[in-house]
Amino acid sequence: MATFVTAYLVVGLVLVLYVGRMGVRQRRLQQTLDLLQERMRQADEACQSPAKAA
Amino acid sequence: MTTTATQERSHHILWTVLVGIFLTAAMLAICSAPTEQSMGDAQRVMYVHIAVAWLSLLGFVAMAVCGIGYLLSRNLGWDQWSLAIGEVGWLCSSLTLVTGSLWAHSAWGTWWTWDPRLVTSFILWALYSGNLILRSGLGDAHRRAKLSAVLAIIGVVDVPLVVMATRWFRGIHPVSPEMEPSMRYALLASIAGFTAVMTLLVVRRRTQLHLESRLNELQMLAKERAGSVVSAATPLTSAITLKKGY
Repeated sequence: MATFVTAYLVVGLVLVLYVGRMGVRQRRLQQTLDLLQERMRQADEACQSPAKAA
Repeated sequence: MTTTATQERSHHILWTVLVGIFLTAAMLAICSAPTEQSMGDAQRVMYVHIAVAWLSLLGFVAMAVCGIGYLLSRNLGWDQWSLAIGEVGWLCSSLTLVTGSLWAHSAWGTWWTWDPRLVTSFILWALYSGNLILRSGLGDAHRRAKLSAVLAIIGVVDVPLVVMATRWFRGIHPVSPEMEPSMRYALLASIAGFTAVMTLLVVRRRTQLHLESRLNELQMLAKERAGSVVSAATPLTSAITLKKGY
Protein backbone atom coordinates (compact mmCIF):
# COMPACT_ATOMS: atom_id res chain seq x y z
CA MET A 1 0.00 0.00 0.00
CA ALA A 2 2.93 2.33 0.75
CA THR A 3 4.01 2.25 -2.92
CA PHE A 4 0.53 3.19 -4.10
CA VAL A 5 0.15 5.98 -1.54
CA THR A 6 3.60 7.36 -2.45
CA ALA A 7 2.73 7.31 -6.17
CA TYR A 8 -0.56 9.07 -5.53
CA LEU A 9 1.05 11.67 -3.30
CA VAL A 10 3.72 12.41 -5.92
CA VAL A 11 1.07 12.88 -8.61
CA GLY A 12 -1.05 15.03 -6.28
CA LEU A 13 1.91 17.20 -5.28
CA VAL A 14 2.95 17.78 -8.90
CA LEU A 15 -0.59 18.80 -9.85
CA VAL A 16 -0.89 21.15 -6.88
CA LEU A 17 2.42 22.81 -7.78
CA TYR A 18 1.46 23.21 -11.44
CA VAL A 19 -1.99 24.66 -10.68
CA GLY A 20 -0.46 26.94 -8.05
CA ARG A 21 2.10 28.21 -10.56
CA MET A 22 -0.69 28.88 -13.05
CA GLY A 23 -2.60 30.82 -10.40
CA VAL A 24 0.41 33.04 -9.69
CA ARG A 25 0.93 33.71 -13.41
CA GLN A 26 -2.75 34.52 -13.83
CA ARG A 27 -2.67 37.03 -11.00
CA ARG A 28 0.41 38.75 -12.48
CA LEU A 29 -1.24 38.93 -15.90
CA GLN A 30 -4.36 40.45 -14.41
CA GLN A 31 -2.29 43.09 -12.60
CA THR A 32 -0.41 43.96 -15.81
CA LEU A 33 -3.68 44.22 -17.71
CA ASP A 34 -5.28 46.48 -15.10
CA LEU A 35 -2.19 48.72 -15.07
CA LEU A 36 -2.10 48.92 -18.86
CA GLN A 37 -5.78 49.78 -19.08
CA GLU A 38 -5.34 52.54 -16.52
CA ARG A 39 -2.38 54.01 -18.43
CA MET A 40 -4.30 53.87 -21.71
CA ARG A 41 -7.29 55.61 -20.17
CA GLN A 42 -5.03 58.37 -18.86
CA ALA A 43 -3.35 58.70 -22.28
CA ASP A 44 -6.75 58.98 -23.99
CA GLU A 45 -7.91 61.64 -21.58
CA ALA A 46 -4.68 63.60 -22.05
CA CYS A 47 -5.13 63.35 -25.81
CA GLN A 48 -8.79 64.46 -25.83
CA SER A 49 -8.46 67.39 -23.37
CA PRO A 50 -6.38 69.71 -25.66
CA ALA A 51 -8.75 68.98 -28.55
CA LYS A 52 -11.79 70.00 -26.46
CA ALA A 53 -10.07 73.15 -25.26
CA ALA A 54 -9.28 74.14 -28.86
CA MET B 1 -19.29 40.95 -9.08
CA THR B 2 -15.81 42.25 -9.94
CA THR B 3 -13.53 40.56 -12.45
CA THR B 4 -11.05 39.57 -9.77
CA ALA B 5 -13.79 38.04 -7.64
CA THR B 6 -15.09 36.06 -10.64
CA GLN B 7 -11.59 34.89 -11.35
CA GLU B 8 -11.03 33.80 -7.75
CA ARG B 9 -14.33 31.94 -7.82
CA SER B 10 -13.47 30.11 -11.07
CA HIS B 11 -10.08 29.22 -9.57
CA HIS B 12 -11.78 27.76 -6.48
CA ILE B 13 -14.20 25.77 -8.65
CA LEU B 14 -11.25 24.40 -10.62
CA TRP B 15 -9.53 23.35 -7.42
CA THR B 16 -12.70 21.65 -6.12
CA VAL B 17 -13.19 19.75 -9.38
CA LEU B 18 -9.53 18.67 -9.44
CA VAL B 19 -9.52 17.45 -5.85
CA GLY B 20 -12.91 15.72 -6.28
CA ILE B 21 -11.89 13.79 -9.38
CA PHE B 22 -8.53 12.95 -7.92
CA LEU B 23 -9.93 11.60 -4.64
CA THR B 24 -12.71 9.64 -6.39
CA ALA B 25 -10.15 7.91 -8.62
CA ALA B 26 -7.99 7.13 -5.57
CA MET B 27 -10.92 5.73 -3.57
CA LEU B 28 -11.97 3.51 -6.48
CA ALA B 29 -8.43 2.17 -6.80
CA ILE B 30 -8.20 1.45 -3.06
CA CYS B 31 -11.73 0.34 -2.13
CA SER B 32 -13.39 -0.97 -5.28
CA ALA B 33 -10.54 -2.82 -7.02
CA PRO B 34 -9.46 -6.16 -5.50
CA THR B 35 -5.87 -6.84 -4.43
CA GLU B 36 -3.79 -8.60 -7.08
CA GLN B 37 -2.56 -12.03 -5.96
CA SER B 38 1.12 -12.01 -6.96
CA MET B 39 2.09 -8.34 -6.46
CA GLY B 40 -0.34 -7.37 -3.72
CA ASP B 41 -1.11 -3.69 -3.11
CA ALA B 42 1.88 -2.49 -5.17
CA GLN B 43 -0.14 -3.39 -8.27
CA ARG B 44 -2.53 -0.51 -7.45
CA VAL B 45 0.11 1.89 -8.76
CA MET B 46 -1.07 0.69 -12.18
CA TYR B 47 -4.25 2.81 -11.85
CA VAL B 48 -2.15 5.98 -11.77
CA HIS B 49 0.70 4.81 -13.97
CA ILE B 50 -1.41 3.71 -16.95
CA ALA B 51 -3.55 6.88 -16.75
CA VAL B 52 -0.58 9.28 -16.89
CA ALA B 53 1.24 7.12 -19.47
CA TRP B 54 -1.81 7.22 -21.76
CA LEU B 55 -1.98 11.00 -21.39
CA SER B 56 1.70 11.45 -22.19
CA LEU B 57 1.23 9.50 -25.44
CA LEU B 58 -1.99 11.30 -26.33
CA GLY B 59 -0.34 14.63 -25.54
CA PHE B 60 2.52 14.07 -27.96
CA VAL B 61 0.14 13.09 -30.77
CA ALA B 62 -1.92 16.23 -30.03
CA MET B 63 1.26 18.32 -30.09
CA ALA B 64 2.16 16.91 -33.52
CA VAL B 65 -1.36 17.72 -34.78
CA CYS B 66 -0.95 21.30 -33.51
CA GLY B 67 2.43 21.42 -35.25
CA ILE B 68 0.86 20.40 -38.56
CA GLY B 69 -1.90 22.96 -37.95
CA TYR B 70 0.68 25.70 -37.43
CA LEU B 71 2.80 24.77 -40.45
CA LEU B 72 -0.28 24.80 -42.69
CA SER B 73 -1.84 28.01 -41.39
CA ARG B 74 1.05 29.94 -39.72
CA ASN B 75 -1.44 30.82 -37.02
CA LEU B 76 0.23 31.23 -33.61
CA GLY B 77 -2.94 30.01 -31.89
CA TRP B 78 -1.88 26.47 -32.83
CA ASP B 79 1.46 27.08 -31.17
CA GLN B 80 -0.24 28.22 -27.96
CA TRP B 81 -2.17 24.93 -27.88
CA SER B 82 1.05 23.06 -28.58
CA LEU B 83 2.87 24.75 -25.68
CA ALA B 84 -0.03 24.16 -23.26
CA ILE B 85 -0.19 20.48 -24.25
CA GLY B 86 3.61 20.23 -24.16
CA GLU B 87 3.79 21.45 -20.54
CA VAL B 88 1.04 19.15 -19.26
CA GLY B 89 2.36 16.28 -21.41
CA TRP B 90 5.82 16.74 -19.93
CA LEU B 91 4.30 16.48 -16.44
CA CYS B 92 2.48 13.27 -17.42
CA SER B 93 5.60 11.81 -19.01
CA SER B 94 7.66 12.60 -15.90
CA LEU B 95 4.97 11.07 -13.67
CA THR B 96 4.92 7.96 -15.88
CA LEU B 97 8.63 7.45 -15.23
CA VAL B 98 8.34 8.16 -11.50
CA THR B 99 5.28 5.95 -10.85
CA GLY B 100 6.72 3.21 -13.09
CA SER B 101 9.94 3.36 -11.16
CA LEU B 102 8.08 3.02 -7.84
CA TRP B 103 6.23 -0.02 -9.17
CA ALA B 104 9.44 -1.52 -10.63
CA HIS B 105 11.12 -1.27 -7.25
CA SER B 106 8.35 -3.37 -5.68
CA ALA B 107 7.95 -5.83 -8.55
CA TRP B 108 11.48 -6.20 -9.95
CA GLY B 109 13.58 -5.02 -7.02
CA THR B 110 15.17 -2.22 -9.07
CA TRP B 111 14.23 1.40 -9.77
CA TRP B 112 15.31 1.26 -13.42
CA THR B 113 16.25 -1.28 -16.07
CA TRP B 114 16.99 -0.89 -19.78
CA ASP B 115 13.77 -2.56 -20.90
CA PRO B 116 12.55 -1.47 -24.40
CA ARG B 117 9.31 0.00 -23.00
CA LEU B 118 11.24 1.99 -20.40
CA VAL B 119 13.80 3.21 -22.93
CA THR B 120 11.18 4.36 -25.45
CA SER B 121 9.25 6.07 -22.62
CA PHE B 122 12.42 7.82 -21.54
CA ILE B 123 12.98 8.98 -25.15
CA LEU B 124 9.44 10.41 -25.13
CA TRP B 125 10.23 12.31 -21.93
CA ALA B 126 13.48 13.60 -23.51
CA LEU B 127 11.52 14.76 -26.57
CA TYR B 128 9.03 16.64 -24.38
CA SER B 129 11.91 18.20 -22.43
CA GLY B 130 13.78 19.09 -25.64
CA ASN B 131 10.71 20.81 -26.99
CA LEU B 132 10.31 22.98 -23.88
CA ILE B 133 14.04 23.80 -23.75
CA LEU B 134 14.03 24.69 -27.46
CA ARG B 135 11.14 27.08 -26.91
CA SER B 136 12.81 28.83 -24.00
CA GLY B 137 15.92 29.51 -26.10
CA LEU B 138 14.26 31.23 -29.06
CA GLY B 139 12.97 34.81 -29.13
CA ASP B 140 11.11 35.02 -32.43
CA ALA B 141 7.59 33.60 -32.01
CA HIS B 142 7.23 32.20 -35.54
CA ARG B 143 10.68 30.62 -35.58
CA ARG B 144 9.97 29.07 -32.19
CA ALA B 145 6.62 27.73 -33.38
CA LYS B 146 8.12 26.34 -36.59
CA LEU B 147 11.00 24.49 -34.92
CA SER B 148 8.77 23.19 -32.15
CA ALA B 149 6.26 21.93 -34.74
CA VAL B 150 8.99 20.13 -36.69
CA LEU B 151 10.35 18.51 -33.52
CA ALA B 152 6.86 17.37 -32.48
CA ILE B 153 6.13 15.89 -35.92
CA ILE B 154 9.44 14.02 -36.03
CA GLY B 155 9.18 12.95 -32.38
CA VAL B 156 5.68 11.50 -32.75
CA VAL B 157 7.35 8.47 -34.38
CA ASP B 158 8.31 7.41 -30.84
CA VAL B 159 4.65 7.05 -29.78
CA PRO B 160 3.93 3.79 -31.68
CA LEU B 161 7.33 2.52 -30.54
CA VAL B 162 6.30 3.05 -26.89
CA VAL B 163 2.94 1.36 -27.46
CA MET B 164 4.35 -1.63 -29.37
CA ALA B 165 7.65 -1.99 -27.49
CA THR B 166 6.37 -4.88 -25.34
CA ARG B 167 5.22 -6.76 -28.46
CA TRP B 168 8.01 -6.00 -30.91
CA PHE B 169 10.97 -6.35 -28.54
CA ARG B 170 11.74 -8.83 -25.80
CA GLY B 171 11.62 -7.26 -22.34
CA ILE B 172 10.27 -7.67 -18.83
CA HIS B 173 7.57 -4.97 -18.86
CA PRO B 174 4.07 -6.55 -18.52
CA VAL B 175 1.98 -6.81 -21.72
CA SER B 176 -1.71 -5.86 -21.19
CA PRO B 177 -2.48 -8.28 -18.32
CA GLU B 178 -5.89 -9.94 -17.88
CA MET B 179 -8.02 -8.03 -15.39
CA GLU B 180 -11.15 -8.66 -13.38
CA PRO B 181 -14.11 -6.43 -14.33
CA SER B 182 -13.89 -4.43 -11.08
CA MET B 183 -10.20 -3.74 -11.74
CA ARG B 184 -11.00 -2.71 -15.30
CA TYR B 185 -13.71 -0.29 -14.10
CA ALA B 186 -11.34 1.26 -11.56
CA LEU B 187 -8.70 1.66 -14.26
CA LEU B 188 -11.17 3.20 -16.72
CA ALA B 189 -12.43 5.59 -14.02
CA SER B 190 -8.86 6.59 -13.25
CA ILE B 191 -8.05 7.16 -16.93
CA ALA B 192 -11.24 9.19 -17.41
CA GLY B 193 -10.56 11.23 -14.26
CA PHE B 194 -6.97 12.04 -15.14
CA THR B 195 -7.93 12.83 -18.75
CA ALA B 196 -10.55 15.31 -17.49
CA VAL B 197 -8.10 16.96 -15.08
CA MET B 198 -5.32 17.28 -17.64
CA THR B 199 -7.70 18.56 -20.34
CA LEU B 200 -8.90 21.21 -17.90
CA LEU B 201 -5.30 22.22 -17.20
CA VAL B 202 -4.44 22.39 -20.92
CA VAL B 203 -7.48 24.55 -21.74
CA ARG B 204 -6.76 26.88 -18.83
CA ARG B 205 -3.08 27.19 -19.71
CA ARG B 206 -3.90 27.89 -23.36
CA THR B 207 -6.30 30.66 -22.31
CA GLN B 208 -3.52 32.11 -20.19
CA LEU B 209 -1.06 32.00 -23.10
CA HIS B 210 -3.63 33.73 -25.31
CA LEU B 211 -4.06 36.45 -22.70
CA GLU B 212 -0.26 36.88 -22.48
CA SER B 213 -0.03 37.24 -26.23
CA ARG B 214 -2.84 39.84 -26.37
CA LEU B 215 -1.22 41.78 -23.54
CA ASN B 216 2.06 41.91 -25.45
CA GLU B 217 0.20 43.27 -28.49
CA LEU B 218 -1.47 45.93 -26.34
CA GLN B 219 1.83 46.95 -24.81
CA MET B 220 3.32 47.38 -28.29
CA LEU B 221 0.30 49.43 -29.31
CA ALA B 222 0.62 51.60 -26.22
CA LYS B 223 4.29 52.27 -27.01
CA GLU B 224 3.47 53.20 -30.62
CA ARG B 225 0.69 55.53 -29.51
CA ALA B 226 2.94 57.17 -26.93
CA GLY B 227 5.11 58.30 -29.85
CA SER B 228 2.21 59.91 -31.79
CA VAL B 229 -0.34 60.98 -29.18
CA VAL B 230 -1.64 64.04 -31.06
CA SER B 231 -2.53 62.15 -34.25
CA ALA B 232 -4.44 59.46 -32.39
CA ALA B 233 -7.76 59.05 -34.16
CA THR B 234 -9.42 56.48 -31.95
CA PRO B 235 -9.21 56.14 -28.19
CA LEU B 236 -6.70 53.57 -26.99
CA THR B 237 -9.15 52.10 -24.52
CA SER B 238 -11.26 50.92 -27.46
CA ALA B 239 -8.35 48.69 -28.48
CA ILE B 240 -8.81 46.67 -25.33
CA THR B 241 -11.07 43.83 -26.30
CA LEU B 242 -9.57 41.33 -23.89
CA LYS B 243 -11.99 39.30 -21.93
CA LYS B 244 -10.71 39.74 -18.41
CA GLY B 245 -10.91 36.62 -16.29
CA TYR B 246 -12.22 33.26 -17.33
